[in-house]
Amino acid sequence: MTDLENLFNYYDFVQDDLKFMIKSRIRLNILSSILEYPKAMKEIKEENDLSFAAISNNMKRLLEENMVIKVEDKYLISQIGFLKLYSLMDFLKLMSTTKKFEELWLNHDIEGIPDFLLEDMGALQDSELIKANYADIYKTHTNFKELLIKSKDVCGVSSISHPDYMGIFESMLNGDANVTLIFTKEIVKKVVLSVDFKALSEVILNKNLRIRLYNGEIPVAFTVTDKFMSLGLFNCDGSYDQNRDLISTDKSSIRWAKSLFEYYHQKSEPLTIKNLAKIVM
Amino acid sequence: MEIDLKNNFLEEDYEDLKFLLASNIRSKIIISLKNGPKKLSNIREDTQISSSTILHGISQLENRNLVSRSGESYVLTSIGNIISLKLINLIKYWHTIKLFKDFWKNHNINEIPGEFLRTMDVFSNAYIIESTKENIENPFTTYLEMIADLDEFKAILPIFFPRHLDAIQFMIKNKRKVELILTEEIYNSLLQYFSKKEFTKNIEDGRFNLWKINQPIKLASMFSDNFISLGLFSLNGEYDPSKLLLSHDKEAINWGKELFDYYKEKSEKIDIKNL
Repeated sequence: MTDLENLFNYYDFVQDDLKFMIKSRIRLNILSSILEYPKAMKEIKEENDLSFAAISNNMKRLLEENMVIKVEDKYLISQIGFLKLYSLMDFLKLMSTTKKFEELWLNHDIEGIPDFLLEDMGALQDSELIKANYADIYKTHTNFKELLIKSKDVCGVSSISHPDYMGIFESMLNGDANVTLIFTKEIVKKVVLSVDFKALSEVILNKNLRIRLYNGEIPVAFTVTDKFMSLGLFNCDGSYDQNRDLISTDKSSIRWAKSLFEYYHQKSEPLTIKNLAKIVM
Repeated sequence: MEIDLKNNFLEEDYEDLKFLLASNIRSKIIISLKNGPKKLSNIREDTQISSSTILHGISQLENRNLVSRSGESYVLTSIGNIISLKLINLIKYWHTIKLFKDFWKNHNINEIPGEFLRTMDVFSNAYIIESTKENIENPFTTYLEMIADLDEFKAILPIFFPRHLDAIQFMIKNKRKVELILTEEIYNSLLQYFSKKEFTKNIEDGRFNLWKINQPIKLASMFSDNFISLGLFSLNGEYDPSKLLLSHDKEAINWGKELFDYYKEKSEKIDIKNL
């Protein structure tokens, strides 16, 4: 059986269950109101502003389907009901995140983000989409710099070079920040051509800075530190979209971006004087 | 729990859920397009749905920016692509719930960390081994058969049966690598089982790696590179040795590895000094 046939079979197997849950908003709301604590009918009625008839009809159905258990006069969600509701809320979280940042994903290349992190995109729910406006064309850039200076532990992946960044990182390194950067060959080449080899060798030998080399295209540019994460994408035509930047200081977004960094880290190798020479030749 | 538990479903959210999940036509079109662009005739073959119904579904999906047209083919947009991955997850998740309904119903799942409960769909292709009347020890004999050829194995154990110890000793005697996360109680019984000399030597050799965790764990899991098993506690609070969820899928094994790391971070590593 192919993967696709398998999925269609799975779908057919669960579709009645799904429809039972989805087709009534009242049932969903009853389940979510007893998610944390068992409640009596009266409490559920007040919380949801529903008629007694509507609740009792739907409660009966939920009991029949083993989604709810009645203990004395209270109703509690069954473990199966809990798992199902949990998965729907998780799905909803992803949907609202894709909707919230629709203009960032649409017409942009998302190939640089592996499937397991696309699925987990709901983690970015509390991020903010920073857009450049005409008054301050470098707004995304300025925000980025402010947050960066405060960070102690900096990881970055990029296939675009910002002339400023080298300077920012340099000033950070004079402090005690720990920096790991993953670059494509092209970026390394550009950097090499713009500074002298000796200065670059010093950077490579700096203990607080690790530069790593990624063999291939990276159609995403992002930075993640102990304080924030920032993510930019490429337009479908291959140019980098400088006008949009997803930024967040919340924990779950940072965790998501850390995993993305981990993904590229595993596929990269340290930049040594030896492989640097090879690239330049 | 890491997910935000909403008190109710807003009208708009609810409409979105319904749009995607309550129609087998739209769901199936999305699944059919998951691997790349397809022509109408191919979608029809995949889904066994009539062309006119498919076209109607596609235009609804186009309106929501989930599908777009490219020449004679239809393709998921980047958002459609993200949604398709999650939709497939969800279907596998519900499949896992339904397939092992009694397993979830009769065991305590509340102590499984939220992040791991959320990704239970990795078990969509798993199976259950149960003790039978003829062979009450069935789940255990299966274990022993499985570990016989392994080079290493890891386990998270809040319970101990003599057979677990036999298995661990078997692994160590045959110079294989064992990594265990144990609760205090289990750690103490393990100490009694091995001679101190034997214990110290194996820890020194690096073949035996132990972590002690100071919090209750309500699941037992063993895994290696080719299997993972998951055992749970009954609702009455006792471990249920009669049923095990077993999988040989890579994603399920990775789930186990991440769970192991999750508990490892909360544990204390045992070395010669603090033995």
